[in-house]
Amino acid sequence: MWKHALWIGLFAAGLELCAASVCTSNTKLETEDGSVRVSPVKPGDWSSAQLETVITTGPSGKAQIMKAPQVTEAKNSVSLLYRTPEFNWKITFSPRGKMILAESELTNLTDRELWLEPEFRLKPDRSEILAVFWNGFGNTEKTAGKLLERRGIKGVVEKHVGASTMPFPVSAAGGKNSSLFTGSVPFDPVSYTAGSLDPAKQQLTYSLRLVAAPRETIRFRQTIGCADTAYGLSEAIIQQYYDAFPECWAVVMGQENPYVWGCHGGYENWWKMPEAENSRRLGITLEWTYCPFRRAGDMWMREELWNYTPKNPFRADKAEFGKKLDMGKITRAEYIQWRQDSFRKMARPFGLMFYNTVAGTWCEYNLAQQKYPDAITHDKSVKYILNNWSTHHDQEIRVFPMGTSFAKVFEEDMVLLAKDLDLPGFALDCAYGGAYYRGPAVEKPLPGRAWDDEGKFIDQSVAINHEVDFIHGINAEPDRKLTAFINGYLKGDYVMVESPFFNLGKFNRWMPLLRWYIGPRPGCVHGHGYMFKELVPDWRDKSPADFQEIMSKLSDYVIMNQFKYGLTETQLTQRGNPQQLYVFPELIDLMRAGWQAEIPMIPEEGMRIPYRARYGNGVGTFFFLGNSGGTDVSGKVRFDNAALSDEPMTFLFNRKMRDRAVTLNRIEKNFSEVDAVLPSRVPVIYESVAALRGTADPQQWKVSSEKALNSQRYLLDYVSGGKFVSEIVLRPIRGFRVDKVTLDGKTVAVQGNRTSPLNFAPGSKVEVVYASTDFHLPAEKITNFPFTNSKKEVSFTVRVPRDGAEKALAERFNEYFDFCRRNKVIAASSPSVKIETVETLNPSAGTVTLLVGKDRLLGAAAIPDGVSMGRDGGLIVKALDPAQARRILDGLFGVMDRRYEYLYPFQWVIGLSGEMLTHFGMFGKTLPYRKYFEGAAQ
Amino acid sequence: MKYTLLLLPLLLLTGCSGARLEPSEASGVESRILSNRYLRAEVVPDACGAVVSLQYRPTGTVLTEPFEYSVSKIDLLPDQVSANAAGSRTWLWKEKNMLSARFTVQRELNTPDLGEVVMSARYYQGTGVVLERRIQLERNSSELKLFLTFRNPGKSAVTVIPWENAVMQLNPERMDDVLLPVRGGVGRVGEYGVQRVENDRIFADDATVFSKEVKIAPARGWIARRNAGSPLILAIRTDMKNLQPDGFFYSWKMQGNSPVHTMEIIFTPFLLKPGAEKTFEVDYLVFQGLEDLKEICGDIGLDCRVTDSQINLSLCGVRPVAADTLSLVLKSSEGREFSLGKINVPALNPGKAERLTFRLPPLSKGEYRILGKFGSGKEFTLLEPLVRSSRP
Repeated sequence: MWKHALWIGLFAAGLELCAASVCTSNTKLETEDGSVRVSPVKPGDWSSAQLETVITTGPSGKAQIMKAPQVTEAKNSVSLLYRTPEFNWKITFSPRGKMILAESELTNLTDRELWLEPEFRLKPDRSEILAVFWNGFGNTEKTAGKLLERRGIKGVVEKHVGASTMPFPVSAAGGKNSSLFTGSVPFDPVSYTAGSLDPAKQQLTYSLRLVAAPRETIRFRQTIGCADTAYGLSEAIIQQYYDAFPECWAVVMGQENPYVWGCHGGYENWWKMPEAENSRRLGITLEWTYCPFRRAGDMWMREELWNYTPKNPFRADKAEFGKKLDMGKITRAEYIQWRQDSFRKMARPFGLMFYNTVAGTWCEYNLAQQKYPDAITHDKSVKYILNNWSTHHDQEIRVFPMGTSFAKVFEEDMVLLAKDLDLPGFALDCAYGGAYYRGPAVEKPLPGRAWDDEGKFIDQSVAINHEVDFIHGINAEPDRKLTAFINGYLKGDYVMVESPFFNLGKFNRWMPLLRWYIGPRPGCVHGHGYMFKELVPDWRDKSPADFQEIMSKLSDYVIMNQFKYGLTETQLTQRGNPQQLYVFPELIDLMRAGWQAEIPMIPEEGMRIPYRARYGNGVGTFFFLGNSGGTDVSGKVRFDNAALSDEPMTFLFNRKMRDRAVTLNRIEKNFSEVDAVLPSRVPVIYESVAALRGTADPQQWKVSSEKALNSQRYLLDYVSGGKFVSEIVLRPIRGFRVDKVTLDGKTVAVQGNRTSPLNFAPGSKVEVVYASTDFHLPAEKITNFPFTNSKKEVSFTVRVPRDGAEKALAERFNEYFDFCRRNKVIAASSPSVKIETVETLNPSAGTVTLLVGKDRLLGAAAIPDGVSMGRDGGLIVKALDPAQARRILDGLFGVMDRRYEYLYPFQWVIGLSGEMLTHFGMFGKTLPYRKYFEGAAQ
Repeated sequence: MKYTLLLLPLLLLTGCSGARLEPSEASGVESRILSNRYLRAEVVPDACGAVVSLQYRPTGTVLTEPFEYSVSKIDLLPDQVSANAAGSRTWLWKEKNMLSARFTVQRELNTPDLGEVVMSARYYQGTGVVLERRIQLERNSSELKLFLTFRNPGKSAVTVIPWENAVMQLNPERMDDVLLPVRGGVGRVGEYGVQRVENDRIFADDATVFSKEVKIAPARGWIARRNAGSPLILAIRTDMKNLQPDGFFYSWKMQGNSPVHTMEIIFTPFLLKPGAEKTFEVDYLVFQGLEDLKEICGDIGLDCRVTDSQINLSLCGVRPVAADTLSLVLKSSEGREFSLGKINVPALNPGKAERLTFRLPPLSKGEYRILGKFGSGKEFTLLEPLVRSSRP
């Protein structure tokens, strides 16, 4: 409490003091006589720093410290205008989250091009803050009195295409308890940044390079801030970025995007013919359709470009949708027809992301030389000609997909393809920076132009980010926006890490920097699944018992890492290991909340918790704790509420279970403490269930939850503490609405997600009840419904109105039971589901009535959208539109799976060969799994 | 006592020039060191039986980056061995390669004339094949010999494509050029497109070649590397018949500022029937004093420069070669031959190149290949340089 009070006081005092300045909850910026000072609201290893604004004129000009600006003040905003004969530089400082955003307009006043490097120099008053330097890459470095610097954005070359890592756009200095940073905004079009820490000058710098055409005004953004280092220096700063610029990591169509909240097929739906039931049960929501064209750089497959001789023999066995194509023999007309037929039918239902000729960055060598020579990216410091790349038969050369002749055709192709094939989005491979384009288009006033000793250039990352914006703009309809599935660290909606968890060298080298870039966005790993041959090179000497022990551990390793990184694996590791599909709903719940960089959690000393993560913010926070050891671990774990919200709140946590859980929360100062028991190899999740205003007194709350398909009930028992007044902040739960809130049995008013202020005293009991928006019946009504008879044969009828979307949607029931029949879940003799047309609503026993749209049948108006049951025992599925109907049906099928369970057995997959499965006798078998998110099952 | 004194210089001499095999440890893992006065090769059985370190002793040049090996203990995973790709090893093309495949030492030979270690790995690279690596170093030789024997103990035939993967460097400061003798007029080898050139020549994969990787149809059974900042040439040689019809050379550059530039031989695929075995010889040769390599003839490496009036040859042996004679002949594109005479070749020793000069007679307009024949009977035809005459 004292801490909250102090902070509130300081915050208020800060607001008062900073009336003529800029202030956030963390950082304060003040101007006086043209000089600028930055200071932390909560003093730590430093108390203030002078900010110098500097411009260097390239290529060989001297750094010029800007002086005597014209200062304009507004409410919590300050603008500085520096005038020189060559340029004007206007910087507007304003609060953004916990940091300060500096938005600049730099105007070239001359008739010649200017090469400029604007720079912020921070000179803190105490050297303690300069103990550690973070240059934006994955690690910090102790300064030890020496100058540390980073120049440019090229990091370590990591891919065969010469893609290199890129620093997070920040430069930071840290001490024991706090840090100071300055940077720019991720994904802004910037091709060159630099940072340094010079202990001798007691100075931290960050700069970026720009090219301004004659009379052009360039706009760019910089940041200044400070952070605590209690939960990691870099992590705290990254977290501030997530909080301050959520738009950088926002997914197109958000939570309603039908493609990104699941896992990708790992070619299950590209090499094979996609099946709706298979996809649903494996959680596949999108697919990486690799090279659905013949010639790299010609996605539309223009007639005049079709016939050519590739460097290598045409790929003769290209797998697409269960068919092998000989790319040398297939005619253009045949392939166009095949592609149209396949994509038009399946692209949207299966999230088939069209492979975007890598990322619009590689083109068949001769095509590029002949048609797009201006687009070739001649950066010889990285690979720019590959003799055998994306199509497998072409020699390919790197091209630049922005402002070039290739970019024009490429963008036209994307628009044509999106329309012609009704695409859900594009797949962008190797979406990395690190290749500098210096061709003719760099003379155009394109975004992101920078300069170095060799001249002007634009980094490839700027073009790819531009491309993602372009993709998002292709379809105007808000619910049909195109999705960008990217392999890399740039803009996009779903991010692939092109390494399985088991590729330890690569994966660990890429983390945490790549994960920081992915941020709260959903993503996946991709590659060779278990890599069993590499992990267990002596597998031939192992017994079936050894295999079962090793494999169950490997599967748990996948699970622990999925939760740690918020990344899904694929069917490559799910088959044979039902535990992975069992945890999938929780994993997706957490991914929807958004992975976070900072994990403000303090386990009791001695608790070994190798796997940790945090998802979401405020009342939507989840903590994951993973004990990968062989024995259970228990102890007290404290969650730092002050780090979860800018407001002084107390968050109440409970174990996230599917049915019920109870957790005692001890509140002290800004911490909520729980007694955690972490069973061996079980992911443990704590979820915030509600928040209250923080108080000074220690408190104890017993938090319980009871969850069912159609409702969730949370009980907050105030066990001990003082009297206080607070509203309750309720968390939103996807698929549910707040039904009622009571305090000691009396109904409480709720507005938005907050109750009115309430009086609490020890013994107070709060009940919060949520009702499902999709299910208006308990799960047992569904699992006991007579879909099949005692002979395990389908025995129900689907009723649909005449002339509507329902008839086609009703076939999903057949797909469901066809899958069950094929996989011996129901009898082989089972008939198909009978689908009949009806004129009136008559949900009799043994029928499922499917209604899509308003007033489809007489009497249907009173039926709520979702799944309900009529008086006579018939199920009713009602939705506003086909998209909602598909979502509700998938939910219904998920419930039906409890009765019609199918455990995917081991089968040959990449990374686990048929020879291995034969050796261990595991073909067609599964490992056991534990229902560890269900208290009732334990 | 006096015998001891007499023997001492002999022992020292033997110790210097003789071969040795000794056990050692590299990056915490057991190794074997083969050494003589020219080479020091370290072999790690637990890392593919690779030659993880190769040093040319007269100049002290280490031709490999430092070897790194570690074993990680991670919850839920078997012990994870990792090794870097320093040095050279044999992999199997089309099989996922593993750097930490284990060999067991089968035999060791340690005599002044020959040091030899024989290692074997069952289920090599996860396949059903056994690979035996016999690595030997003779006294007074700058050539490391590898005998690779593939056996199929299984019940069904397997196709094997040996792949010699060498990550070597003459100069860690600057990327080496890799020299690849290329067969002209060939655009494809087996299922791969290869670098196409008009005529047989030596393709220098240097910093001006911007392809990340090249595949080459071999015109000779060797691949080599040079570096302007090094007095050494490193070559890897095998019998040309091991490369026909579908073998090829491969080279891969890290690019950026990295010196990593591999030299790799992908042998022609062969079918190994149950119970069958097949052996290949692969030699690593170091020549000191040659600026470039145009051919390897037996134990001799040759460089060749042509001026308007003469042909300058540099010769270096990888082991002592007795004095001999050499005749040169020029062969025109029409098949006419012009003798340039015969000259004496002094005895050759590793570590030193000898220069020879042949005067060029007046030649009619055209291009001429250089053919050579030693008195011992060994012959060579240089892929380059060609002698060109513009006289009418």
